[in-house]
Amino acid sequence: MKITVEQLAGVPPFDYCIVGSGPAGITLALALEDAGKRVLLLEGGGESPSQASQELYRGETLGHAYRPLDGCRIRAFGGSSNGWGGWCRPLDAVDFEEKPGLADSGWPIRRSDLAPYAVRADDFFGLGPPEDEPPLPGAPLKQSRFRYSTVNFGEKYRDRLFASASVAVALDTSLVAILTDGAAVTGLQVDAGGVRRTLTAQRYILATGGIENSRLLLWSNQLAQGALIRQPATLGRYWMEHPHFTLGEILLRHRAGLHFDEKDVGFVSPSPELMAHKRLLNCGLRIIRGGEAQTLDSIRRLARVAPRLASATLHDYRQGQSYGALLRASWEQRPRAENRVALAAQKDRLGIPRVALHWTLDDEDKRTALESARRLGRYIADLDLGRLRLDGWLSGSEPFPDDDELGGCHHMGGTRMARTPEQGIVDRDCKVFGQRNLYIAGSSVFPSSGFANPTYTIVQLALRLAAHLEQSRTA
Amino acid sequence: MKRRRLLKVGMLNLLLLAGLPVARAHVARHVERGGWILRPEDD
Repeated sequence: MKITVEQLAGVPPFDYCIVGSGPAGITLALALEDAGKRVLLLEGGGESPSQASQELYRGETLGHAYRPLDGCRIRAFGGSSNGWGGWCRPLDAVDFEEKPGLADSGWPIRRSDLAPYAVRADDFFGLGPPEDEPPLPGAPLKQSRFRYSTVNFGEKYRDRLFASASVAVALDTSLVAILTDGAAVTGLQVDAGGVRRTLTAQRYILATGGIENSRLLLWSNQLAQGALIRQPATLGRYWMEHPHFTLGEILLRHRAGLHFDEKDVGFVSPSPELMAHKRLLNCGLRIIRGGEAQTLDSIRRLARVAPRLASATLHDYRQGQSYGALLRASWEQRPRAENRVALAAQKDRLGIPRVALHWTLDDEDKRTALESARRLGRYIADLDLGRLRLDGWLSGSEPFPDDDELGGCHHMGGTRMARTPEQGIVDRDCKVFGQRNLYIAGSSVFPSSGFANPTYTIVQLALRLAAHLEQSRTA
Repeated sequence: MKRRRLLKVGMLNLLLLAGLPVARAHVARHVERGGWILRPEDD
């Protein structure tokens, strides 16, 4: 049912209050509804995106150029699934492991802890079964596969949630502070069009996204004078994106061995052995088929260094056996404390400090992208599948370009999952350390990110959290 | 012919030991020119 904060007066406390109705919040609400629980779902935006709501997402970025913060996330029912690309893939097993020589890497859970929730996650996304990801024979590389969802969580699950007898949805209701007695959350202060109320439930789940989770905790902890997050050293820190850049181009003479999906994109990434041997982070190389102009431009560039090979490639192209492709990549960043969500001096109209996002790329980023692309280039040259060219900035000493896609709007980290409160904000069950009844859902809990788009893992984690909440209540 | 080939191999070994680029190019499986990752025999 839809509800307003005024209508909540006198209503008995809910079992759960979920803040945020993106894929994490909606998945949790539906899973807890299935378990017969009473749930209050708060959404700061309206039923659909609006400029007025997006304005609250404005903020400043420091470090490397990044996207406008009000343009890379959506504050409305359904959250950022109102504008996502639908790319689904679970993280690799290696993404959860501690990597030798890489400080602050590794999760306190394993891929196998999320695997039981894959089938149900597929159902939420409307996906068929996953395909195998075969190795590339003779190369320290493997092929990756994405599945594409067309589900907008707001659109798909709106009717069910608005008609639900046990889930109450309050739109245009923004969290402005989390109240605590030091050991447990005692209520949430919210603002609904200027009306302020304190709402209570038995348990609270913060699911406001990979930037807002940190911002709201930083602000609430400041108001609570440190009583909400007792060990805040990592709060807002270890924030990560998947850098998105064009790395070069490929002239492919044959497709043999490489799989291209329905979008005509081939995905290749370093094998776990190569990552371990070279101490690389995970990297998703994307081979995107280009058109005639791209192909002919590539052949012209090849002709400058290998004219006879270029001539043969042109001949193949005219026979329909060769084409040009763009080499793009998105990869895993090293978790670094310096990359962080912080509070800016300026406040928004609700009185909450706007976000100041510190994001930089370093040599580790460049080495991961360069080495992965170079290995692919060598592989396709060895098998005479074609030739690959690396862009000058990648193989040289120039900095990262600031006019590329930059990031995938994948906001991860800030409230990382850890074994101890010194190392992170939530435990392996996504419960905030030191608070009996506060949990976090979403990619802000990722301690490291792999290269796969995060939404699939967010939904797996939300389903696991729902199962944990119910098990721990009955225990 | 055989003597000439032996001489060539000997010279290459010397260059390789000296770490000269021309020697490395002869034994490398790949070379990079203009960013392109090529086989040594490409043109």
